[in-house]
Amino acid sequence: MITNLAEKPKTDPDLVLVEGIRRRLNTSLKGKADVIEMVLVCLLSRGHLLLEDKPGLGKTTLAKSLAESIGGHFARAQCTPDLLPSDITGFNIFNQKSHEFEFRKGPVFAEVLLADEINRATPRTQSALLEAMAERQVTVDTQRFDLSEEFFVIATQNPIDQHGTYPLPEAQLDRFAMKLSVGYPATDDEVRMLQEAVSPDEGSQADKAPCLNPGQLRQLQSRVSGIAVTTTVQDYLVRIATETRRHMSIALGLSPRGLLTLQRAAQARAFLSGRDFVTPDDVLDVIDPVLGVRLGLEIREANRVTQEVLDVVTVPTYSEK
Amino acid sequence: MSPDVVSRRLSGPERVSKSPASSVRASEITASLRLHVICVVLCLLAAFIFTLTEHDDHHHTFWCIFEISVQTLLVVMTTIYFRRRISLLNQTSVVIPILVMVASLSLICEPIQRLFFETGHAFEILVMHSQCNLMLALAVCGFRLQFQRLAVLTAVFTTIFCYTISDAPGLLPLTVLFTIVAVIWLVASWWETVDRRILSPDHGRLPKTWLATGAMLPLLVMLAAGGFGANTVTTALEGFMPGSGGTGDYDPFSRGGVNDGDALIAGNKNIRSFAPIEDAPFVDSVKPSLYDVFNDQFDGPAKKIENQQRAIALPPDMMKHIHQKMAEARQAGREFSLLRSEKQANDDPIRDLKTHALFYVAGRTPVHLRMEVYELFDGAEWTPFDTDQIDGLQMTETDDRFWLAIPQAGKGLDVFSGTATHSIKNANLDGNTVPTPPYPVGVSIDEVNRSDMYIVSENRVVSMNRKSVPAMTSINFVSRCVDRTAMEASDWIFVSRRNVVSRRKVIRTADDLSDSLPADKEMESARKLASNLTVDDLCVSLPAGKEMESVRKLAGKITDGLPYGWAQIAAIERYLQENYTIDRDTKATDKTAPVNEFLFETRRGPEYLFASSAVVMLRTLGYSTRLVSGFYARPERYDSKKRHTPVYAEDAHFWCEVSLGAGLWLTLEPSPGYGILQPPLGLSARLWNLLLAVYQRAVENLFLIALLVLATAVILFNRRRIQDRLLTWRWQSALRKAPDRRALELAQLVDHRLRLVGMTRKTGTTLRRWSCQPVLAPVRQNLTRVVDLADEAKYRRTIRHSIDTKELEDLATQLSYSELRKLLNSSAATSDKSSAV
Repeated sequence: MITNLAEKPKTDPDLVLVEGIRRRLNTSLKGKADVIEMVLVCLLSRGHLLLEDKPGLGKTTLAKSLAESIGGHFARAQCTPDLLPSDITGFNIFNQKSHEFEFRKGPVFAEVLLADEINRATPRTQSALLEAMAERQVTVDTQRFDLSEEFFVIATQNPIDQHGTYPLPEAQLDRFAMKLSVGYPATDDEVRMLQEAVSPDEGSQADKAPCLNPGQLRQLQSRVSGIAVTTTVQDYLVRIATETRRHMSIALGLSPRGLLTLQRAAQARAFLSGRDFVTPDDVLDVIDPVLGVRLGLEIREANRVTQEVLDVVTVPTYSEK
Repeated sequence: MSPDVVSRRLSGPERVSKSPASSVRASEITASLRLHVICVVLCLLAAFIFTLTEHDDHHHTFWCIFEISVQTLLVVMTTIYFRRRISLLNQTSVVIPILVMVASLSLICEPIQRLFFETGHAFEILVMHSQCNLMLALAVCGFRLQFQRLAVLTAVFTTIFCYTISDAPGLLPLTVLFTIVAVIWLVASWWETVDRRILSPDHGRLPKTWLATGAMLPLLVMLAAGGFGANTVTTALEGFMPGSGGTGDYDPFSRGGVNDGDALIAGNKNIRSFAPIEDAPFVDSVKPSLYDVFNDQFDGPAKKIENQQRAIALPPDMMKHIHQKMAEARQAGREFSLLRSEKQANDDPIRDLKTHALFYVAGRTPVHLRMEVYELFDGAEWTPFDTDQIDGLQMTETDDRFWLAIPQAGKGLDVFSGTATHSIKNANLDGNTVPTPPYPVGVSIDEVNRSDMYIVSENRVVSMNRKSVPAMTSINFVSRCVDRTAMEASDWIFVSRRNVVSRRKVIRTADDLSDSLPADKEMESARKLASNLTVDDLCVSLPAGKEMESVRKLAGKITDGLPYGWAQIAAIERYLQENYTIDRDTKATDKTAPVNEFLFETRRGPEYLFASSAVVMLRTLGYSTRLVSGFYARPERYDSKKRHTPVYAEDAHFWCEVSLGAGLWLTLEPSPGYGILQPPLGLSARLWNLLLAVYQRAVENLFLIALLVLATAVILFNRRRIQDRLLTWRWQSALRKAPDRRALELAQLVDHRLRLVGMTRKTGTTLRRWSCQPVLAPVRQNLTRVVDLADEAKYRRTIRHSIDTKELEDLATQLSYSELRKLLNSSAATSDKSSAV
């Protein structure tokens, strides 16, 4: 549902950088341009991503490639019921030599954290991620540690096998910017994938080199936050939020935090389209994944309800400036 | 993601499906403040007009102003209040009960008002009151477009209603103002709808409701025109509402009608004139009067009364002593209120209101009012047969009124259907004979409680047992109606064969007489002869002479093959109506056989020749017939303001009657252009007549209607092109505006054109996404360019200083209505082909 993907020559250096990441991700995950576009939107809007899909569709591959391309440290936490909060955040250990407690950093201290099958972790462990995701900091034994400025969580969950899982509470879901479903690749892409598996090209080292220098991601993110949003579009955003709160099928409408996330995502989308202003089309492009994570509904159902909401909310007209 | 993927997703079932919830909400559109204000002003104007109408018979200026101010204040305040809290009233479940409550308020209050304050409203005013309240409530809720439209519709109805029933001063300018505001609302509403682009699925064809409305509209217009051919709606719809009159019902709160509601009845303060109004106080006068007051207390009347005749004695407490000159208002039905302010009354010099009318008739018309009946005819002159008066008449009292019961003729004959009430108000009629409607059963004059004041002849003509009927006397009649259509339908044999036999006898006798006796003795002998005969026998007698043979032949020719009875009579009546012309200036020159001259030579003449010819022709066939003179109350003369039909001297008329036996004489009208009072029609019959009238009118104006239908069809067929033209003009005028404005207007124009070709964009979809549909693939690039330009104009912070007008014009040309139409048609053809394959 993404529009305006016309291949314009990218003259903006920032867009050239993003194009590098996009190309890298497209190589690792074939035929999923729209998913990758949303991943980029999520990354640039400083949001966290929840991937919900069946096993073996490339969720982890996508997360790893992204970590590689943005040049950060990648960590992975395989969530199981016996995973402890300290396994995520880190813990203090007594150093026999120095007779002092020293802090062993957990995977949250990486730039990109892949929390695989997050719904298998106990609520206690899940909530340990809350503070990290919302405030980019962790507190261990009253001691506060700041996380990386570029900290980015990609969580995955399997919607099919629900046995022994702990569904994510709404509070935690709201801390994710988007929920995406990767989906099966198209036939052509699958054939291409099989061919590459037969004669594996190890790939040059250059292919694995990060696309961004340290600090460049932060620059891109701050540029996105400066994209212009007129009051007309903001009014449209608020009307959408109000409508979600009124809709019969939605128990919990869009929160103000969700509204901010939606605006930021629309800004990122406008930036990726090469514009310095947000249009209602940008909002519509990103609304499905942003609402999808918040409405507490299954993805297809969430899309249907979102469409119902959008049908009711009139898009701004071109009548006056 | 390629555009194709997008379009596939857009046109997928999920995107197209529209949930019921969303379609309901789409109709609950919030109207702009501008439109709402216009609507409120419009409804307030309609309410003013209604208030004026409501008070037009009372002239309570203070209450009028008070009511208008209160309702204006209330409406404005509630509108402001609710406009600020739209969400409060945004649910239909809240609004509907409020509206119902407001609408039923006056209906609830009315019984209380009537019970405790003894004031009330006529039924139609009550209904309109409640509708007016509903209109104002809808106007308050006008932030929702559906309510606003309903409010405006109600306002238009209210205004049309008020304008047709009232002649209050200031109504015309207010109505003109209303029309102007209504047009402004219409224009504003149209532009707003266009701007908003509400966009119900449009299939590019004329919806069925449109077609139905289009077909019904001319019919409704013609129905209205047919119904309103009379003066006002009140006359057209008389009898439908108790207050509109014509039913004979009495409603104490009605504003008019046969019984003339209380508004027309005089008061008893500062009386300065006489008028033909019943229930008015009795005032002493030197003029001849029907009433006399035996004043025991003062030893006889103070003033000498001229020409005192028989009179009804009234008790002294019924009379008021007025020691001043009194005016006379001989015109009937004037709203002649004697309740006037003291000062004003003294300032105006009093004067008589004169009229040329002989008398006035209140009640249904046309009606034949009998004065004299002629039975004997010698070929040139008609002579009435001395009939006895009916003895032993009884007075009955109903509702404080004394009625003289007139024995009903034609007992046992099943020809009557319904009754009619008429009030004859004498103005300038001399003599003691009262113009009497046919088939009377009762007569009443106010306070006349003695049967010897009346004389009723066997012919059922009522006179007063005195020299004259005083002016300004109101005489009320109740009569029966004869259903002629039922008679046509039934095989009614009403004239016995006996008459045929006696006819021959009379003719033979008359022949003998004419030969042997001198002319002056002739009639006397005939009278003697006639004294042995019944009236029925007498009324088949024919003048002597050979002239009658040709008349008999003609009558035989007209009725050839028709069964004896009604069919023959109707044929004669119709023959005269259709083949002869009324001409009051044509005088008979043939002294011996004027009827023959009329029938065979001139074929034109006054009504008495028509009536005489009919009588003679019917007598040759053996029917008992007679000539009647009197007055004809013409429906064309009906004055809807005074609610009376004046009868002038030129309304003197002749017609004939045929005996049905048992003393009943049926009115026949051989003169063309005259009608006979029919029984009151039922609703279905009335509607049927209306349809017939509409049909006739449609046939008369066939060319005009065809032209109108053609014009409407052309406009309807090209409505999209016309709209496109209008929108294009608007856009072209925008080319002079700022660059950003031009780009925005172009996007709007394109959006409208898509709607016009039937690709109405949904409100929740942007133009860019809408352009991703496969149908629009050939023009997608142009559409995207338009959207890019408009987006930049609308959402960019910086203002653009120049724009390529040429590019805009090119885009407008490439995305023209005809181009888009072509595109859509070709895609439809392709899909048809593929589905066929």
